Amino acid sequence: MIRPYGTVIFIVFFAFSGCRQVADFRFIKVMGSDSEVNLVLSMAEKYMQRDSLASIGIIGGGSGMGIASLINQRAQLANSSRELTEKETNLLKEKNIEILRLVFALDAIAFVVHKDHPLDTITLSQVSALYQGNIRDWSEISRQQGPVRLYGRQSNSGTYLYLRDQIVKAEYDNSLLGLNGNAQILEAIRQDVSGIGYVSVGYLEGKSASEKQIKVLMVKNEENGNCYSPLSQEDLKAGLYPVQRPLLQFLALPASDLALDFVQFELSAEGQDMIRKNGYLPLDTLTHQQMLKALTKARQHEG
Amino acid sequence: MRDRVNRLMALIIQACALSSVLVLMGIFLMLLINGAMLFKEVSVFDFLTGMTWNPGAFDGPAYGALSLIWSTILVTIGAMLMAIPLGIAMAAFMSEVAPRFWRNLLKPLIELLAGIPSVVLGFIGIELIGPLLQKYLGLSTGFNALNGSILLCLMALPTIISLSEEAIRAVPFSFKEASYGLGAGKWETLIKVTLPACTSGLIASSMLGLGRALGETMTVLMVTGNALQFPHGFYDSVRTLTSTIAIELGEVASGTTHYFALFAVASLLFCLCLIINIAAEAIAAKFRYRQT
Amino acid sequence: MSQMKLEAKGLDLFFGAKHVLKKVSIRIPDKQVTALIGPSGCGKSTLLRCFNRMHDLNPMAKLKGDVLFEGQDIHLSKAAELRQKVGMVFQKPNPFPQSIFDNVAYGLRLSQKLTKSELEYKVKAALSQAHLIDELPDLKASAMELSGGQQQRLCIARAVAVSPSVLLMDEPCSALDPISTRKVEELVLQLKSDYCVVIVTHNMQQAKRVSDLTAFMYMGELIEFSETRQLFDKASHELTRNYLEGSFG
Repeated sequence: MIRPYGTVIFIVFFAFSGCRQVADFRFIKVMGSDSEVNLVLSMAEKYMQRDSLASIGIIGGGSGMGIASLINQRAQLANSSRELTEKETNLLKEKNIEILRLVFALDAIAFVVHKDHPLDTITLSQVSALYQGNIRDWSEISRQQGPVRLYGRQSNSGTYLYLRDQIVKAEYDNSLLGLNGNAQILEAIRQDVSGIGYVSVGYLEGKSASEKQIKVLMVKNEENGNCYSPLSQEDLKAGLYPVQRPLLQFLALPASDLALDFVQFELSAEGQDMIRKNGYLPLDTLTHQQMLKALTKARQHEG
Repeated sequence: MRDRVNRLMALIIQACALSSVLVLMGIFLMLLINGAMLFKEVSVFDFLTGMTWNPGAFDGPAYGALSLIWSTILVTIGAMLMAIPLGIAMAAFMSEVAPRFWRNLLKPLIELLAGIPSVVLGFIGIELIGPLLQKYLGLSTGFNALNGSILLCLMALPTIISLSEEAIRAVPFSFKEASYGLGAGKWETLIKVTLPACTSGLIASSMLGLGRALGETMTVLMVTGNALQFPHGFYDSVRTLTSTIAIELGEVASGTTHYFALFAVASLLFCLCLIINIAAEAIAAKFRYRQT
Repeated sequence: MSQMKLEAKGLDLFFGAKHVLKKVSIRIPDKQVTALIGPSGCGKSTLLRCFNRMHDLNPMAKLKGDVLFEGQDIHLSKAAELRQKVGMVFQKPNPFPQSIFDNVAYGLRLSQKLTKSELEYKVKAALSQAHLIDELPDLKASAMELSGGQQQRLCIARAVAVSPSVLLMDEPCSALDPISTRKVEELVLQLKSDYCVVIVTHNMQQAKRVSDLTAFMYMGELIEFSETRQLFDKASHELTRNYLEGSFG
């Protein structure tokens, strides 16, 4: 008599637990930018440690790919290091997909030279000319004599492509040294008076530039414009520093709880701290508040 | 029963031997077939003689591997110019000249050198050798072919030293005895009798060291600067065949021209290694013949 | 007695703890062939090697007593200089893996500054002394391609090329066929007019054929040393008689 009871209890238990799992097990897919993929992945891992029933799949493939899968409804969240193109906006409209544009971090690129280099400011056109190899001697733009040595990243770096496509707007000179990372560029510049390099601002945080024995150049948009420093939080927050880009995510609406919670986590103090640790800039207060507001609205959209 | 076991064992051993050959052939075929796909779009001539390699270029891809080939050769030659004389001298010192104390001290140290991971050597190259080159050669940067050569020399040294030492030890004592008997000293015997007597062994050890240097990726990638320019000397930055594969394979979509181009580069590297091995065999055989 | 070419006085030699030569005293005259005979392991080769300090190469070897060359203690001059005057031919032919010419020229190049033609002259002279010159048309050929007998005679030529005054021969024929042996023996007989020759042999007939004096050694001791004919005909020591009769050895 006991045995059948036990079996029944087991079945009931399994049935319930099964139901619970189906109800609570949540999954979202995030696709897009290769330059964001590592950052988002590390945040997703942290999030999933907290919420064992959540599963967040992160796939790279480039910003375009991420947005395309949003359009095709194969992903709920797209990472993008650029804004939507007109074509993409139209496609979303056609398919009647509403999206939320989220800025969750900032990336600014600083140009660095040796601490003894006479140059203090640089214009974007000079940056472009230097990196294209049109300026080969420092005497053309500064009091320093001697050839220019260009330090950069290898072609698998997102920054390499961003700078080339957005700032240099031409192929790099083939004497560009392809180093392994931001830290290596800083190390090289520290020892080379003739060098110029670019690094993510995140790598300059913590220690002061003089401690690192490098000089961070102020950047001007054009010859007579104002100069802005990537080290000035005000300039960055105001969006005045010309070589900065927001790290974007596009969220398809209505969004699932998990997607909303994950974005919330990205915007939380812990998430922003991880962004800093990954070498990017956390959001300024204003943008941060805007984003939180937008997120609340998105939750209501769902409700 | 025993006979059957024997036959089974023979079969298993044969299968093992055969499988390693098959794996090798398989790898080579895979490289070759994938690499050959490149030549649908890029001519072999352009691939081998083009000075520019930049598959992801702003204004259209370029698949000229000549600068990569030359970079590889430059770095390897530099490494060998240092490693072969140094390695043979060290081997000779250890086996013929050094007192037992030094031999016992040096041998484990050299084995330790062989055990240093290539990334660590790369780090040493960046932090130590690069700045030293900058300081003493008056260069603006330490990221150049010479730095790579020095590190590859360090990597090839253990191979060259231990194999050369074996070759030197294998020289019959009677040769040395004859030399001493004629009034020769330690050094004269070493240089005029012992080393010439084991030339084939020394060549073989050098070639194995060369093979090690040619295929090494990580260290070279870290210290040579990887610029795409055509290098004109040891003070220029270079980008070797191996570095190119390592840098680009991560970002390439399979089935694209770029993907096939990387396989073509790999096939090139494979062929280069093959040529060196065959040459080594031929040279060693020639010297062996002269001695017997 | 006139001054001897080589002399050992109360010579003891140890290899580690092993006592291999016991109080050996021997006086070897110039321009004669002296044979050292005795059973295997009696120390005859070891004694021979004392005369040109070959034991220096063995860190285990320890020597006590005096060895004199032309009345001088051999340990007072440099080993290399001594070995140029006291040449050696080894048991196994050991030409260098080089050309015939280079083999003979080796010692000359070490010790003397010669012009090319002088060198060539001396090499050819040494080769003709060893009766090799007619057999070897091509001096650039590898010495390793010669027959065993030719190789051994090449080694003799190599040794005499530097014009030593003593030639030590350590069982020079043990690896050779009878015809080559005969040739080497003839060579030895000719060489004695110019050199002091000391030859170790396990072949008593050879000792009889080539030597003027013979020393019999047993267990590291010099048992008997006299003119060859006297030793073979009427040895004074019983051990010697037994050995010569073939009772042991």
